Amino acid sequence: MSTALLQELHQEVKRLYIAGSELAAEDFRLKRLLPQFQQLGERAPIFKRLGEGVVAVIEPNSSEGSSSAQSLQELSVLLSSVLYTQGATSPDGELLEVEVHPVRLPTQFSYRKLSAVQTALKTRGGGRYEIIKEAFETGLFQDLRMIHPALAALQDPYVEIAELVMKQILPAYGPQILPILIDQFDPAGGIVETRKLYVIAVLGGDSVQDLIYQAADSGSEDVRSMAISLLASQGQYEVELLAWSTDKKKKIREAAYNALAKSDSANAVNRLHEAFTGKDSELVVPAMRQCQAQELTKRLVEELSDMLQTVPEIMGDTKKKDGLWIRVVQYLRVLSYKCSPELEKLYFNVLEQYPLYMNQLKWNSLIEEANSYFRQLDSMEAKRILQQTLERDLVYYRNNRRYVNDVFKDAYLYLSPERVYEQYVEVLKHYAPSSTNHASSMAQQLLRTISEVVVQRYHGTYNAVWNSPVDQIQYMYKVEMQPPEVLAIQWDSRWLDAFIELDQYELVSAFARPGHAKAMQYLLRKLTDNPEFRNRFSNILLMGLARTGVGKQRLQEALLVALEDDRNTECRLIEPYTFEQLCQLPASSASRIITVLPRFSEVAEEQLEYVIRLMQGPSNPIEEV
Amino acid sequence: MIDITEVFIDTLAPNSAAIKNGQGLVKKRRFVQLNQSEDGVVLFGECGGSGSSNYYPSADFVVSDKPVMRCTCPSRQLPCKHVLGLLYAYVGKENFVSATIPEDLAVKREKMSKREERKSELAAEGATVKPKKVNKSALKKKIGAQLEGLAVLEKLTQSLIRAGLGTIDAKGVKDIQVHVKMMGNYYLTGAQIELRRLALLLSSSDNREKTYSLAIEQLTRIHAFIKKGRAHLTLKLEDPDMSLNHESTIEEWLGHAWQLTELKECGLMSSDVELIQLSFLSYDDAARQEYVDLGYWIEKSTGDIHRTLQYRPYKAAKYIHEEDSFTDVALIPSLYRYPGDRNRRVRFESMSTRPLTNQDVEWIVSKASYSFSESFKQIKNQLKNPLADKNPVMLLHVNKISKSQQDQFVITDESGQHLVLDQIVALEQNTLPLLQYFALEELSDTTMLLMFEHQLDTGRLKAQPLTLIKGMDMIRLLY
Repeated sequence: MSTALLQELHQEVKRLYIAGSELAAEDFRLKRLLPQFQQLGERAPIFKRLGEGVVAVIEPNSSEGSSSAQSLQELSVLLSSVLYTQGATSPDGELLEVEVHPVRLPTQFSYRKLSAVQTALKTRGGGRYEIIKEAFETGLFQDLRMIHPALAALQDPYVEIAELVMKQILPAYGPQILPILIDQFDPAGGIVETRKLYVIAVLGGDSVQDLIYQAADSGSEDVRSMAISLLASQGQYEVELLAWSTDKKKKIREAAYNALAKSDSANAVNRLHEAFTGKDSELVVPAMRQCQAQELTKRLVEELSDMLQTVPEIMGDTKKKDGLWIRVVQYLRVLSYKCSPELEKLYFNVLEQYPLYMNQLKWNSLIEEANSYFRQLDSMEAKRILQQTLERDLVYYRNNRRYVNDVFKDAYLYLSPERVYEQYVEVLKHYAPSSTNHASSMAQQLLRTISEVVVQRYHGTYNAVWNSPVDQIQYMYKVEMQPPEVLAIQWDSRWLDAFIELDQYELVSAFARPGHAKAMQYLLRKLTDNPEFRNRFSNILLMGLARTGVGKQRLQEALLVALEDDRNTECRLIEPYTFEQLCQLPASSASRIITVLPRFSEVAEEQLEYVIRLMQGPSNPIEEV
Repeated sequence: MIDITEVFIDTLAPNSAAIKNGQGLVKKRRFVQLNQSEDGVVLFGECGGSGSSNYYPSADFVVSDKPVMRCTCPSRQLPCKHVLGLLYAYVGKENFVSATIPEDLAVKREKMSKREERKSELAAEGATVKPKKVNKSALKKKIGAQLEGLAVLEKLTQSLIRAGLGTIDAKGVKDIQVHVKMMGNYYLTGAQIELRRLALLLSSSDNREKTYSLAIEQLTRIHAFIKKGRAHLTLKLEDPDMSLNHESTIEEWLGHAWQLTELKECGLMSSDVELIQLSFLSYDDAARQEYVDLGYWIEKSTGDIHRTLQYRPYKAAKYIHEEDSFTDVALIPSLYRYPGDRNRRVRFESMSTRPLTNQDVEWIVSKASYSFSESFKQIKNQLKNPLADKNPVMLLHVNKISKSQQDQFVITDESGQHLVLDQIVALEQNTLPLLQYFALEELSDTTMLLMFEHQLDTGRLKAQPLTLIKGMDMIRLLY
């Protein structure tokens, strides 16, 4: 049967469907085909019928009562029926062997197990990362049908997913997927190919060194950059790394610098140093910071030292001075994670010349960098120089906000408690809660800084005993204060009176000590004024009261009174310290707590129920409350 | 003693989210009480929910493989997560305290057993189910409406073709959508689906050439459907019994939903059948507005490959059990076959299972066709019928798998006949890349379950593998 002719007719019919059957009358292309059908129709009846169908389409008047559309449909139904019997199944050309990459994995999971993660891998939108991660953790990827979606997910636009696949999911298949990856890897490609290369390097180890070298040498920019970083720890590629570090492309040079930074050979150090002094001085900074070669540190220190020595000569030339400072900052950035005797000596000299660098040049970062270098050291000499600098800072920063912030923290570390008090109490004199002038804001900042040092606030795990055993580890907001013993040694006792005067309930709570009646009265009054457990006040006030050495009975009565206060509503969660105090109440207070229970909701309600249960003894189930 | 496994509970669950939620309840210790009746056949418990009062799920194993599951929660899912949680807790060896069954549950159980008794009494008395009386004048009216609907449909398609597919714009598509709604009024749900499929094709933004080809195929199918439907309905009007046609699929095309009793009356039920699932897939059929769970099964006595189809309408998808792939052998007391030719739709209401054995796999392999040309002939014969299933599925023995110059997989039978494998339009998922993960020896002398498709534009009959059987392993490439 003439399949080509049928196919041609099919195309013509399709054309008429698209163009509209009304245009079919006298269609010359169909007309041209007609004789062949008529000729073949003499032998095969099906061609005769097709021929009649064609005639009906091109001569609308020949078949009575039927429209052009109907004729076209009739022809199409007949033609497609014939075509369906003519489907070709054989391939064109010779057959080749299949190239396989055998993977030993079962097809063990059911549709319902796999479909969720497969959908997550091939669709877009939120919430997919968790599904994929969970599926990986439960081992769903150990199925033959998951490899292909996993490989495809390397190009997921959501980077976290692509990286999860690259760093965990694909490496978990082991070297058996290496041939597939190598087969798919295209060195000329983009970011997706760099991810493939990463997996290849992880799985292939030494066996793929050549491939990675080739990629580093002749791949696309992204691929080269990744390949160079993968070659970093391989000593034998130093010559190539040196060559790539002079590449025309910035990205390649950057990768090469970072790779060279992992080595401490003279050549590598020379090259990095050369780049730092050349036009790549910015680009090479991360690599320089990473490089641990002592030789490099030594050279940098020498150069920085030379530069600083030129300072007196150029003092008058603002342009030169500014140029020099830009260069000095670059050296400081590079040196900030390094350590060497030469560097110590350099910084020591810098701090010795505080008046020059600070007062005259205002090179604050230089002094700060030197300061922080010595802070890491634990020696008498370091402490001495830090104290000396601090004294100078106290003068230099007198009217700067730094004075009540960083400088205060240094003072707290290096000066005696009395000296700190005397130095700083003046600042508090100008405290006015609602004022925004400079003196008042300095005072406010000082109070904040002291609070930062003394009171720690954080979210941490807490054993929520009121929950069922499985749910007991909870994250909760916690407040912790410096222990009273530490406070007594590290702080001047006069601070407490100052804080009471300024109505600083939090600092009063922290600094409160036994035998200070004024503080106790202050805190009790504060708690009466602010009994609401929903606020953070009451919790801190209770902590403070405990520090005043108030009698247990009096403390517990104050707690109960606060709990019973009409204003104590809308509390959903009782803070840990208050909760612990409630737990210590005597069993006789149970009835008082039961009375107020309806005012508390959610977790607070569960906490109070637990307290009541505790009072009624372990055998009493919660239902009886 | 109740003998259940986690896998069994999984199969009870309507979907995977319900499994997860049920297990979550156990993990989070939301069960306040876990009880077992004194005779051991009922599990019941109390579970905390989001509301103020707790829920009381229960599972009654009086019929051991068909538990009756109840819960006081308002969820429409059956079983709900609370019942599933109760069962997972039982499998997870949680402590179930022996207790008497709560009163309201006992009342429900009694009512049910009375119902069962009455049923079995009726069966014992031999009371035959009264044949449903057909209201003939109503049916006549309905057929009249259907014929009218076909005329409307014909008018629409012809006007589309006269003007040409190239001229159909958004407004044209909207007009088709209006007709889709109209078809419902004419009791032509089958036509409704096919017309919606046409509208979807014409509004898709895919490759124009390809969608035109598919749209034209769809139009010819609708034309054939109108012709056959009209002939069938006219005949039916003349038939004094107005009986259903159980030999062709035309009733289904017209929108008839076969009832199991009707199928039984037509002699389309067989008893005690073993089915083995060969492949499974689930897809979203936008034209039906339903999710479809499709399973291909081989019938043990005949070697015929059937399919199970479960439709889950979008609106109710959450409450309908989502089928899963199935690897055991299903022992089915009564299997109902739908009218059709190859890969008939089948349905069953209950089954028991037994594990798949090596003998079963050997038997499946022996049922594969060894001659491609013979199989192609059968397939082409089916395809030429415009209303036939365009994606027949067959089991073929493959001598060798190779690659063509165009980098396509090609399978060859013993006599050297070839078939090019390719991804087919009907399947969303491409299984072909999986073939490269097999060892070479696994790719020769194997058995493949293939889904076929004829592509009119290229004039090629292509196939995509669904499952590969090598040795005793049945490797599901889809699910």
